Amino acid sequence: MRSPKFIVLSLSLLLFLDVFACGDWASDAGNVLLYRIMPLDETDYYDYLTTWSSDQMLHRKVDYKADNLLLWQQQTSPDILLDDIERIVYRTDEDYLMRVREHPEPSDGQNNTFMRWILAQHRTDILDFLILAKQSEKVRFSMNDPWYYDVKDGYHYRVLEEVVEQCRQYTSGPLLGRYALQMVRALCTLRQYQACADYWDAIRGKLGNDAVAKMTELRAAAALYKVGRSDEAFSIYARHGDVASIRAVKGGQVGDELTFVYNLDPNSPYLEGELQKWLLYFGTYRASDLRPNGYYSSYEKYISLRDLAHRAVKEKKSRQLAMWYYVLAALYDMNGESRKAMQYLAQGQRYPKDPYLRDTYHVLRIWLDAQTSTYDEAYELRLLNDLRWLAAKIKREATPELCRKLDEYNDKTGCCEDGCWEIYQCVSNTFYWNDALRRILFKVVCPRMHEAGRYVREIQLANMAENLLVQPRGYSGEMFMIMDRLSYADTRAYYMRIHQPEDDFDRFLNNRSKTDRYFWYDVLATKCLRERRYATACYYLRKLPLSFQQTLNVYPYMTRDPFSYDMQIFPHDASLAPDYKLHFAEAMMRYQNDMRHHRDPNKRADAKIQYALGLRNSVHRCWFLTRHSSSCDHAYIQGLLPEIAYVEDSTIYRHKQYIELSEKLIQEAIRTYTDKEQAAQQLRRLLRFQRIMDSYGETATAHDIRAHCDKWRDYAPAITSL
Amino acid sequence: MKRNLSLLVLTISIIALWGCVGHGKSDPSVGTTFQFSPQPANAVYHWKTVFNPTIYEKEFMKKHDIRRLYLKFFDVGVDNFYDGRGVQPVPIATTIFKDSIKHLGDVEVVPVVFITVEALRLEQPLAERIVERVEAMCWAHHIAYREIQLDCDWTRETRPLFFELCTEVRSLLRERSKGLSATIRLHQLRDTLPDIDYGVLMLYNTENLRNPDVKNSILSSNVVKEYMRHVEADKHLDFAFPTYEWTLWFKDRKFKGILRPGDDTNVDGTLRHETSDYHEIIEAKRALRPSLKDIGYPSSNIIYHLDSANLSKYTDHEIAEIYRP
Repeated sequence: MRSPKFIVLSLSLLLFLDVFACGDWASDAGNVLLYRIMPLDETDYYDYLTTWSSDQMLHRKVDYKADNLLLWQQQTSPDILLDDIERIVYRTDEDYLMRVREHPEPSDGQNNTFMRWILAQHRTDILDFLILAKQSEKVRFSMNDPWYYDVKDGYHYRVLEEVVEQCRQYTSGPLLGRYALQMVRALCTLRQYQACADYWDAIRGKLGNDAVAKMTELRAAAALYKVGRSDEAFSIYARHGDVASIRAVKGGQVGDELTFVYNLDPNSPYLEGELQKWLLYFGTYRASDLRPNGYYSSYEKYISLRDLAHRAVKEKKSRQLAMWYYVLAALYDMNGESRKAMQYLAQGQRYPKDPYLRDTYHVLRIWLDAQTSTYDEAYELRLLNDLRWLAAKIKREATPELCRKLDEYNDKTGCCEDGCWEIYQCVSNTFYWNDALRRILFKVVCPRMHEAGRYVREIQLANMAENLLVQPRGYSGEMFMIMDRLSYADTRAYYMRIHQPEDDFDRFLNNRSKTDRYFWYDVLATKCLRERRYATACYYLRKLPLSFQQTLNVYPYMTRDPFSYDMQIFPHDASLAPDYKLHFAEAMMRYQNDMRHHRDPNKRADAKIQYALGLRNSVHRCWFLTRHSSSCDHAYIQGLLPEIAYVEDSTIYRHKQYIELSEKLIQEAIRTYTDKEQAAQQLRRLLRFQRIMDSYGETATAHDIRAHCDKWRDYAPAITSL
Repeated sequence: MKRNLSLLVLTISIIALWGCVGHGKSDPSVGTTFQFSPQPANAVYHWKTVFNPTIYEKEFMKKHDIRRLYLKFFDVGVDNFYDGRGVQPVPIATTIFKDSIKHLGDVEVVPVVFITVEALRLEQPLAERIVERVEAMCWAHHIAYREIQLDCDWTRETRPLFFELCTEVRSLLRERSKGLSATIRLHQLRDTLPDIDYGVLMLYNTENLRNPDVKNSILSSNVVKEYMRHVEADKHLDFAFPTYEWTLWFKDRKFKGILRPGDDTNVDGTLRHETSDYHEIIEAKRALRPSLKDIGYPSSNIIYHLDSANLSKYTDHEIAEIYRP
């Protein structure tokens, strides 16, 4: 039974995650769950946090079936197949065994090496045992049926009592342990707990330490608990890592469960899974959440967990000290104490660890290093070596199944009006090593590079993080978030570095990044459009073949007239799509030229209005001219990955700036007109009727409006014009 | 060793079978020729989850010569199993025996099983499970049963399922020389009756308790009379009359719940207190169509249910009148 506190915590976590599951939580590298002390089933990774079955996933199931089969093999012959033993021991029914016992036929052993051996060796004792076990099992199974009604002197009890009697008579022999197991099971089912405890006390010394002895001990623990020997029972459960029994017998009244089990057995297999659960849980927190009276009220749990980890490394009773040091480092890191975390991780390095923990130590070290190091040459070198290791590991451990899954997501990647679902938005928190790489780079290294003004390295690292495992087709991942906030000049500097690498780090990153020429031309051109560098944009856009343009995520939207007067209704025109951006850039260049240099002031005014419309639309309904998705929306990134939400470069700022500039240009253009009729016609297209009535009331346009629109019918012509 | 155990299993099975059969009158014609032998008697239902009759209730049974107790053993409801079996019919609300049946003296106990229509609709095997569980309970509590009664609020839609269940249960019971009866609601009497030895016509819950316009949903002799105009029976019927009361809670003309004696009546809404009025009972009894009575043998009257708090509101004379044939 879980403690109320656990339930509250779990519910709050569930709620917390659910909220984000509807939004963007699962989509970014920033929230990858970094801390790992045991391998998790990557395919169900999300379930660890969002389902109640996380216990089953994190705690190793107490199951000695495989060991039992091996024991049968040891007790009989190494030539016998384990599958054959499994079939006879676990799947064959009682009737078949009875028939073989009574009337063995030559065919009985033909298809099963275990049965063949039994018959050849005349081991009827094994058949007798199996028949007894199956009868007992059958009765016990039927007693678990909801339709069963407990009748103390009924059939079920009598069968089990006979089982007990037969087991009692088997006092020595090769099957002693197995009879003991049946005896303990039968006595517990009969609720003869004292007899069971007494029997266990008498027999335990005669049993070895094999799988059957362990199964017997686990079952006997229930009887021990029932007769008041609860400490012994708990020790057994702890030793076997039997979480369910610990919780069941204590009815949720264990206080701090981790401490409770640690006190019983510092080497309980339970501890690893439970620690991992809390690392996943707190791994979703921000340091600011882990404060007394914090929003999630988990501070007490956090502190008790940390206290226990301190105690474990101090007492050194555990054989898994490296695991405890990792936990300690993770707990300090999640609280924002990276340097302390680094110290504990360093101390844990010297203790033995399995290959998995050794690698997660490495990942955590890279993560902490990124946070605590000065970004100098020494760090760059260290980072390069670390990334080499991690990239190789990712490539090595990415299974074909995972790659297939990623490809499937990639195929489904599409674009919606204000946001594109990216491949990593679907699969982040799916493949730990890649997730960890992305978290380290996007959340720590890239922002620190940005802070230092090293934009080229920032893009390089973001590019590799995004594209190492699979190259997403979309344009809204973290790499775009980072890149969209950088200028054309910075991006071009990066692009140059693709072709002219300066060092090993450049080459390493280039080799693992997306360097497709057309892709980068389009990125650079889009940045130019955003910065009103129309001539430069044309230079890149003229190089883009239609076949490439059609692969763009935003290509389906390129049917809207970018010079539309209307801000809401955009008639679709499919003929606009080919070379959409190029045509736009060329038109803007033309209008720019005309509004500055045309001799006719009315033509200059017309061009200025067109230019203003293009400018406005390029950040409004035709946003795809200046960006690839809503990923560069500042507020969006602020919520998703605040570390890379660089305010000064945000496109939102550009959006406001261009809308204001567009309006200013329109006002200037209207004032430029010398032909009042033309001015009135432009104002009419802009739906500014009041202005027409106020300033151009005597024009034919104004007369026409008054003739057709009730609202303006009685409006007197203005005396003055503009 | 193995042969010993097998022999034991066989022996126990035989003993169990004999035990079940042996507690009733042995019938040499076990099988399809079995004839249920009716025994008219004053009877009462026990419809609680704990069998622990009070002294008053025991005295009541003696005083009114009650020789048969229809004792609800369990309900068959549904539950969802998360081990792959999914939604299954399961026994629920099994009666806990805190007193021994033998303390009632020479009283025949009829195990009653209430079957929800939800369980019926699952169309899972039920007959054998019900019979075996009833037998296990009888064995455990030393009850020599002669028949089992099934209670189900079947409608036209679930009628075939219930009828099939009755046929299967009856077949199993006939092999054991036991009978099968079923409760029959008034609306069910408009249909043919299932494959049973006899039915118990429930002369209570005559109207929909959820209806805010109904005066007394427990018993309305007028409603009984209305039903009596159109019904016939092709099997023997006994008759069950109510002696309970309750308070119904409505809010905005919507039914909110049943308040039992002792419940807090300070609720938001209106309350409708309903009783089993003696005169209504007698009027309903008189309204029974003669052709429904004494089919094959004299009909018995049954009181629903054994509860001192309710029964104490009736005089001995009134109880005697209810039981009077």
